[in-house]
Amino acid sequence: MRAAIVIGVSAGGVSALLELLPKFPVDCKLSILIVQHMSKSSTNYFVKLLQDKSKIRVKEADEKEEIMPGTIYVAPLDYHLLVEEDFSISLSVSEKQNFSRPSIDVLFETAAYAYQKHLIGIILTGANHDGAEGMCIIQKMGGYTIIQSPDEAEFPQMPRAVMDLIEVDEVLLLDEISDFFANINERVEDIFGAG
Amino acid sequence: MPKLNNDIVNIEIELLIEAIYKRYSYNFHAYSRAHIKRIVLKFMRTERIAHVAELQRLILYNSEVFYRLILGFSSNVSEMFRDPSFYKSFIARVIPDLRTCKSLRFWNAGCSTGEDVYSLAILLKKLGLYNISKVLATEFNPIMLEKASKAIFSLSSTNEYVKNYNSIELDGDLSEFFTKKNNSLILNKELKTNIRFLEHSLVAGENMEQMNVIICRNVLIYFERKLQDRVFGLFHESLVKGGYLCLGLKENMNYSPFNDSFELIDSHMKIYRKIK
Repeated sequence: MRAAIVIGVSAGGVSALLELLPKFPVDCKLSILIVQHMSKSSTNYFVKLLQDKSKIRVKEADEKEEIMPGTIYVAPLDYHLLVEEDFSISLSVSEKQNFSRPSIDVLFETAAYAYQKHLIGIILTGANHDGAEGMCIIQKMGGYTIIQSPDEAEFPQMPRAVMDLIEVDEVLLLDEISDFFANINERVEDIFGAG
Repeated sequence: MPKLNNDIVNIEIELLIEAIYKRYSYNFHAYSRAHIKRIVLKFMRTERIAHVAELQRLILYNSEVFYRLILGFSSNVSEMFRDPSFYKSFIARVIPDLRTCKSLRFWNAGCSTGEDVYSLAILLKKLGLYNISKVLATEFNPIMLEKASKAIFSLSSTNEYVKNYNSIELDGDLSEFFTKKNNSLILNKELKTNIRFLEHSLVAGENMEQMNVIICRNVLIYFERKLQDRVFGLFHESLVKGGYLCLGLKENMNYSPFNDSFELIDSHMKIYRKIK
């Protein structure tokens, strides 16, 4: 079974990701795809930083590569990250979505069609509304939706925009998301098994 | 909310692609499905169209709707001097060789709204090569081609363009080449004298003749491998021996049968040279 987690994060996101991603266990069965809005600086440094702290492989997403389990893919700077329904990656420089490239909506929507109910969408801190429409589509396709609690998020607009649009499955604190990731293999059995 | 039946939508998308091919001869069969599907469904949300089949009927009978739809398909929306390191490498590794030629032919394939071709024109002006150069800019989408030929950009992009230009470390200032009017950045007409704009499809079109340099950045990224190979063949035919091919930073010829006919002269900036 192919299953994935997509994560969207904007302003204030680096520290959140540095806290969360190291929690994934070595035997993590899911693929993880991340869009983080960044200013014009290198993703290389960020990928290295994450790799140093993570137990599973972290890499910048490459055009046409097959998406593997137990791997974290980060969208390259200035490219949209799309998931094909044969579970390979496409990159695109098509127009910005919500003033963003990479855009969370683009990843979430295409991942929703590919993984359908075997997808978990997570929106963390951020100061815009990118990702809300994508979360809506994930839910429509039967996937599972989680947001970081806006009360806790450094910038609450992004998780709040999701709440305004859909009824999410879970609103979690960063600590709870950490816990969710640490026990991911068991947790997805609950979620997907029930679905 | 109704659950979207993904399998049926996928069938409809295939039929839509076939309908576009039969009606307009634009071949999107080998395009990234994730890209096309997203653009189609987004277009439908904006236009409040419930089913792809309905959209199909619309585009069959109304070409205006079709051209609006495919604006998104082909959009390799760019910026002037995108990837300044590419231009730096081009100046260092390609220009010295081009200086030995009496006349030069450039082809910007898939020129979109013209950002790359005007960047090239400015570069050639700066380096004193413009007068011996002929530049062909091709694009399959007539709306985009029209926009490219006008050489008018949004004023809001100016800072980005200037920043890119400055990091290439050419002399002078980008503002030599444009004027600002209302909300627009208008490029000087003199940049256009040696550029020819032509409607041309990489999917179905013919090769060009005797090109010294082909620039085709961030177009092939939307093509499946089979189609990429067709285009590499087209470029191979169109280039003189020793001619240069510049691709986007995320594009390469690694898996193509034409890989052996080219040498990679900058593996990061994806500048290739035809060797046989």
